[in-house]
Amino acid sequence: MGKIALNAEQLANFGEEIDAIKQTALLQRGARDARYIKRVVAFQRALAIASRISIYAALPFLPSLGLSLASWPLFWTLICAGSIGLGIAKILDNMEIGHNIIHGQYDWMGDPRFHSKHYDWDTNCPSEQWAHSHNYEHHTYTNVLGKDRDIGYGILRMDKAQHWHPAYLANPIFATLLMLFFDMGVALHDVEMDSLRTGKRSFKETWPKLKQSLRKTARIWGKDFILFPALAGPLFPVVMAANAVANLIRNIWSFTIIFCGHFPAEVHTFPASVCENETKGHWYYRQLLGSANIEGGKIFHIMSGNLSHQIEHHLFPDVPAHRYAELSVAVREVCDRYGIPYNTGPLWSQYASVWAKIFTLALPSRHTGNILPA
Amino acid sequence: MSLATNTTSRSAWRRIIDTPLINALAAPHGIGRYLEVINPMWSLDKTRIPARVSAITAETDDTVSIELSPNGEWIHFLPGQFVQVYIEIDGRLHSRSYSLSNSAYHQKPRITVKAHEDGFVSKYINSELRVGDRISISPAAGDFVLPADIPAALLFIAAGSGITPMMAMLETLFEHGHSGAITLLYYSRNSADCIFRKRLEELAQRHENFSLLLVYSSAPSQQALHGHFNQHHLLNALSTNNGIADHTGSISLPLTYVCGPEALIDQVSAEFELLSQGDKLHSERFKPANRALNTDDISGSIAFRQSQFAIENDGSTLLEQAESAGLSPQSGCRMGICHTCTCLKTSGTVRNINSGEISRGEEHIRLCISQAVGDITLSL
Repeated sequence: MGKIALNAEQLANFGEEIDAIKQTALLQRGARDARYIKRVVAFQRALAIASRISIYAALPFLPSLGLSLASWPLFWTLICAGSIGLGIAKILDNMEIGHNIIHGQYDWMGDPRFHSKHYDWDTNCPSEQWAHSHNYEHHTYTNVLGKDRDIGYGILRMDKAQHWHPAYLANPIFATLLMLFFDMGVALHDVEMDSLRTGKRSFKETWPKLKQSLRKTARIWGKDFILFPALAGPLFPVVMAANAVANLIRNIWSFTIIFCGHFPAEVHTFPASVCENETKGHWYYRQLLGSANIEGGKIFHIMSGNLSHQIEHHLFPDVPAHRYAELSVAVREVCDRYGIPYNTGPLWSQYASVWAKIFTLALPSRHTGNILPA
Repeated sequence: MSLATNTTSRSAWRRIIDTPLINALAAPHGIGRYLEVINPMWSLDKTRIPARVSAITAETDDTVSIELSPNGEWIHFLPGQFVQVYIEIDGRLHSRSYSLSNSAYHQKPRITVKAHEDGFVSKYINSELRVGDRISISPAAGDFVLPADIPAALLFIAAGSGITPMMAMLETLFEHGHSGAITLLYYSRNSADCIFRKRLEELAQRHENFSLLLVYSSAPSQQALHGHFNQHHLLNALSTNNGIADHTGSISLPLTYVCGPEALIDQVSAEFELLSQGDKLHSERFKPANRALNTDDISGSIAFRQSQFAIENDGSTLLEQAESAGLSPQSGCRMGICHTCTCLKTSGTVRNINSGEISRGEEHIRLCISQAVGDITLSL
């Protein structure tokens, strides 16, 4: 990886060009975006209803009930369709809809149903806490060591600059656990349990957010693991299992997409010093170098909540995400002209490099510095 | 005697479905958000009630009456009240308040909207809105209403579109069969501009107890009543009402409702104060349409509604001004990206310092990148 050097003037011009792309996109917002988000929401809601019905529709076909309807093929088809469909519905709710609405991408519509201050998403993390740790902390201090808690999430070692500790030998295990229980990981992210563990914060300071997070978890898990199963009477374990699989599908997929956003090889991290008097040009430069895209088709982009365009998302967090694909053309053109690398690749290779990092950083390494001044 | 207006209650299926258990199954969105995907009219939202435009009537060249069919969340309204109307134009919801203008006994509420020169929404309603379109309305609100016991004499004074709440009161009173004396003193530019003229004349003909005084400001000065409101007009109106001068010669004013531009209300209030009977007067101000802005104008005040104080606008961002004033609004990146500082502006105009975009009226804004242009009120 070579050094990228832009002098102050080039950096400023670069910033202006990227900003112009953003302002043009913001001016174009209108009926097209409103129609888009309403369609995605309508589809997601309908999918959720249909999937849950499918899970119940499977129950009468269970051979163990001894009914004349008994049929393993029908049972498995309906319950898998339901469970997978519900998983997809949760993915859409969390990513293309929830994450983007909470970013304020649709605030301009003036509709409380799509407004960041009013929207609550179908996952254990209170949207207010997400807005704080993600929209503010992560997006402002993206990839700045010591300030962006998304570098490792307080559990993993994802950068050479993080001091090695024997506990990190279990890096792959922590990562796997985080992947399977990603909804809980996100739910506890803003609670800063790592600060509680190191003694930086007291339990008294931690409790309010922890309580809020646990309350939301109780609502969401209560719905999937108590209320809906209860409707099936004695067959409640079947519904519980189906719902658990749906949550697992959402967890694994979200983890995969999100980890591909900032951890593939060649993504840059930055020292805390860059935050002092950071120019607009450098802010855009850091957001770009600190992010990575994933190549794919239209459906892949929607399923990833358009985080497949992590670069565009970090450049323009409050531009409606469905516009990122078309904006990426202009962004890439600017990068080519200024000689700035644009990190993108197919899912399998981006994901492989993330796991490679998880394994290699489980072992002690010398800090050789991925940090490059502009 | 009191008005018994149409009081429908929330439909049964809504009451059955909108319960904690069913909403828990639909957590965190609530069951309404799933129902409205099947049919928008099935929304359970109580603050933004979907309504279909069922009829549009042209009242004058620049005024239309819109009859609405709201869903089962709509209960009823008291004549004189208004609704907040939400209309989607190019993806954005714009909201304006309009008085209901028909009898409160009717199932379908009606608003009457005059197109103002700079009125973005009022012009849209007059030219683009179609029967079958869906808009949203708030529940009826406002205390510009008749008392529970209707007095024997009532005086209504209106100008321009200020006639709308009075129309609701008049229609309701007559449908109820009220027989006390009612006088309407109504100002408009000329007879073509006079909203509801035909209907008012019809009511005057039909009801002996109703005295209609139409005053055209552009009428020649030889006319008995012309120009703008003054004491002469008031006395004229009173003479049509139940006798008012008692044996001591002092004038007893009836319960009076006035609605229209600031100037009219100020003048009427002045006359009532002169006679020390300001308590007999109820008024409702109709704000003028937005005029062209001078965005370099940094005058005006910033009112913090929750904190109950105001400061003079100094032109810096609202976040900076709120903090200097000792408040601590939520904030984050302080550069318009993270939306943490998003706050509700209940009135006034601001300018986005990044894009130059203007925001008028009740809207959420980001404090860190907003500059006030004139008076504003924030929910802080």
